[in-house]
Amino acid sequence: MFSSRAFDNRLVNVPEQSIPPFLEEPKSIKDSVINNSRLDGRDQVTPRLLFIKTGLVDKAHGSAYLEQGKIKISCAVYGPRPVVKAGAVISATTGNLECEFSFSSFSSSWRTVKQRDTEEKEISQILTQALGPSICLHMFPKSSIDVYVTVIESDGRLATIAAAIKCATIALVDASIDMFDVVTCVSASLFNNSWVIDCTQAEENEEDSSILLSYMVSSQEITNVIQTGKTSIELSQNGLNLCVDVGSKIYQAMCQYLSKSL
Amino acid sequence: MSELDNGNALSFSTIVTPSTLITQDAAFMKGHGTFVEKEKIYSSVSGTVDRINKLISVKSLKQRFVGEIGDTIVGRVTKLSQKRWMVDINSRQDAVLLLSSVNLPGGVQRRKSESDELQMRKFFKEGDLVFAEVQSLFGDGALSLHTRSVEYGKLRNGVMIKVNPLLVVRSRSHLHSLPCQVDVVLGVNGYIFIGKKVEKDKLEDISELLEMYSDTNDEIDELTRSNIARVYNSILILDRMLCRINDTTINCAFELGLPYQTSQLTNSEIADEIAVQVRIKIAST
Repeated sequence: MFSSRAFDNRLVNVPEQSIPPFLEEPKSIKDSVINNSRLDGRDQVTPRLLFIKTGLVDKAHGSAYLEQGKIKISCAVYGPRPVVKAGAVISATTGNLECEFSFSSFSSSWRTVKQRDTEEKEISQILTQALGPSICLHMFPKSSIDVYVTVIESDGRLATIAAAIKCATIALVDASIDMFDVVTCVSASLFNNSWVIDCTQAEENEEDSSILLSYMVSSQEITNVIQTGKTSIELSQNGLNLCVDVGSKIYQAMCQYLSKSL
Repeated sequence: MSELDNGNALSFSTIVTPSTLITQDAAFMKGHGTFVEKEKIYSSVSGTVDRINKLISVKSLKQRFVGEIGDTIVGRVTKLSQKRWMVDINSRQDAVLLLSSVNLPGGVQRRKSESDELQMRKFFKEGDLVFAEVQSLFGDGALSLHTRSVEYGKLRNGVMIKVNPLLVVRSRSHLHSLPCQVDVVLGVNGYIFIGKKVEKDKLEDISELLEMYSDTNDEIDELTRSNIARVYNSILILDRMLCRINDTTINCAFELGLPYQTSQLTNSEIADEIAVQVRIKIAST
């Protein structure tokens, strides 16, 4: 300890023994979800609160911005306009719907460069499938409707896709494109035996199974369902029914905004 | 499902969202912005319900321009195809200008030859502005244009501005000469062309290819340029405030903007002021 050498300025003088500070045991997210005490205070069947605003992108024919918790999504819709995409099938009886989905590189907790290409293409397909049946495409032959969705911040993969579908629908209505109905979308995750609506990324990391449901309330038609993981038929049906119920409530909120925004 | 009324007493200006049930009464006909399912009329866009006698339609502010036969339109050539030009008219599809629908030099009755087809670029090429009239509709809704008259054809010596198509009302004449030596061509599709005044006697001479389809602009003096810029800004003001755009309102806005410098007209406060005064003036006349 005491040496004849002079003090070395590069060394930090530390005590001989060191004890780590007392840390609280981190709560298991899965446990807190099952016990109905989620980190943000919601119960199992409440989705995050929505914030919607239309008309933010001047140049586009219709646009919408949506926030749900930490998720922030912007969508621009162009159309109906002459088909722009090279190699697209131009039909004389119906129009085309082209959806393009992209994550910003700063949207999640790790910076992405171009690795998300295939994922973005897959999600674009999901968007097209979810929105397609709700648009009166037979009224726009040889034209195309282009939907561009940009995720500014994401929180939960399925929840972000659900928010994107809602945002795209609102943008389509803002563009005055003829539609059969407004599409709502709900995501749910399974923890042991209970379905939990609208999970954040932290919650989704611990899920057993998940559902993404896109639903047109007035005509009571489901446009798109995606389920991952393994569940029993009964559990699966419970999940779908729960999503349909929550979807109807979200639908009312969206329609309320649309009529007020006029 | 949200329902508006029993279907008997429909109120004007009721705001609807897509898939709102408007009426179950089978006596009504469906118009724009609605769709029918199982004899019930639902709205397909977000807007206000408009009932004219037995026709129910839903009107919204942002609908795309839909052309009808007889509309006078300003458009920009986007593509050349076999014996036709595709013209962008701010609508769902590009309009079609057939080679047989334009005036070719050498007289009206001249037969179209193969060399005409190969030389289409000499008449209109990509980016040219065309003033035309809608002749007919194709089966899929695309418009077919023609320029078979002296006042239609290629536009030059000016600038094009895009406004909301709802503001340009269909009227008998769309080519207006403003007192400030500027000509304004109001396209019903929302494209407006502002240019140097065209001398009337030059319109008679349609036999020269160089005259009709020339691409070179004339010499435009500074006063005319400044007036064109003023008219441009005046129309921008009218568009922002959703005022109707016709020669009366343009003149009104132009005169009210004279005290200011041309560049000041883009200032939003001054623009709002002028727009309010235009509204008052029009309402009083």
